[in-house]
Amino acid sequence: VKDVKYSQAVKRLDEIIRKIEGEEIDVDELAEKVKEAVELIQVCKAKIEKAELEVKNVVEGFTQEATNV
Amino acid sequence: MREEEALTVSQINNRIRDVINMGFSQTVWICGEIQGYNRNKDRSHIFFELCEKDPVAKTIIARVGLVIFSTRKSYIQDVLKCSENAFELKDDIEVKFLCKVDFYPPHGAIRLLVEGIDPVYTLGKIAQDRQRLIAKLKKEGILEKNKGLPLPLVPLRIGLITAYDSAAYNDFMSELQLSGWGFQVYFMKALMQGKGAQADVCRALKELDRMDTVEVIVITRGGGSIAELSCFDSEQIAVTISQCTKPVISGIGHEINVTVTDLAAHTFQKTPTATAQFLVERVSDFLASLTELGIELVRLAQGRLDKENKRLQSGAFQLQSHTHHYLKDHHQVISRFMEMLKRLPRKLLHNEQLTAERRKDLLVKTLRERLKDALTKIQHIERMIEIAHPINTIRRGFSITRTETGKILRSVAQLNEGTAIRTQLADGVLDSQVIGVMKEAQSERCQI
Repeated sequence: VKDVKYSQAVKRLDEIIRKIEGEEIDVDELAEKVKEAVELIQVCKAKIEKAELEVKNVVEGFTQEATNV
Repeated sequence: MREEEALTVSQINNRIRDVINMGFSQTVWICGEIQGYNRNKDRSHIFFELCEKDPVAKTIIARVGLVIFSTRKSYIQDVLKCSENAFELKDDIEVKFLCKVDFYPPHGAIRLLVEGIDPVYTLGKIAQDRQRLIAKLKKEGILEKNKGLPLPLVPLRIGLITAYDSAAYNDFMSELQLSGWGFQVYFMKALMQGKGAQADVCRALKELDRMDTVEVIVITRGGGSIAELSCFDSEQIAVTISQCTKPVISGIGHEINVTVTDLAAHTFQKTPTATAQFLVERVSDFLASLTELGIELVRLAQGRLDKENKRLQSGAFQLQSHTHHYLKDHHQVISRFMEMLKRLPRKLLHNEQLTAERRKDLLVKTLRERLKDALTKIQHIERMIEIAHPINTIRRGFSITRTETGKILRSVAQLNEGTAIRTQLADGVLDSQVIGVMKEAQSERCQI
């Protein structure tokens, strides 16, 4: 799950949600799917936070460099 | 002719002298062009000629011999010196002399004895010639040609035309050296006065103009009288300058009048020193402008950099804010997933539960119905069985006969004579023994 791409993760989440919503999922599998979905959500959240932090650092680093010039 | 009437040469010459002296009792002013002066000027008595030329053909139409006696020489020179623009007597110039007409018997020739001179006439002539020439050159556009050439911003390679080892050369060179700039001078020596000057200057101009390295040509000489400088009022030089591909700067030492060479040049200065200073200033100006340009360049570059920096900074901020928004949207998507994930499985389970309940209810209902049906069926069967029970048949008068082994007796074939049989009736049993067996037809058995 950790190696999954963000867009793939979102796609997978969509799929799981749709299946749960459409009640296409077997109760036996439900817990497993929910577990997978939660894991995916955590991965996505981590990716978003990481991206935001990196962008912030890069921009701050750049603007600092720019003011020093 | 009679002998006593003949005159000796002396007599006739003396008579001629007397006639001439009578005819020219007063001194006269005579105008003309000097000829043959230069080669005699160092003698004590200077013999030369004045001549008159045809104004168109320029051929000599009249000439007369003159003499400046040693006793008159210094006086004439004083008059020239005292005049505002001193000039020297020399060949080819127009002069106006005050003369005494004299016949010299030993030579049998008429001599004009120079008594005085009118320098104003010569100066006027020079000025007139000059004005005429200027008007002509102007009309032909020759004076403007060289001015149209661009003067190099940094004129460091200079073609110099002046007299060899002259004061002008030294003044010019020392002024350049004083500047400390790296001037390169391509020196072309030339006569700067006299008859040969024009051709020599033109030759030097052409040679320097051919040299690729030369950027600007300087013609310079020290001060002199108008008559001395008159060789620079030259059509030939003006035309050569107009044909030059390089700017010509003239520095012909003079205070009042400007020569034709000056007018034809790109720029003119008064002295060799001033000419050198002009070039030095040009270089200094360039360097100064270079410094200013440098400052301006740095200022512009800094401004541009500041602007770009601001733009990049704002770009960076925008990037951050856009990223933030972008990621926020994703955050919302993920959050929505989370919420749905919290809600949906519960809903799904709830629905499943409901379905299960429904199924249970259905099952119970179905079972109940089945049981009811079964019961009805059973009851029906019971009734049927009740109806069919042998006892009831027996009660109606039927009986069941069994063999000794208990087998229900269905055929006479099972019997023999003497076989013991037990017959069940409604209220008890009776035992019997077969005494005869009669087999009947099938149809008859059925009737029983």
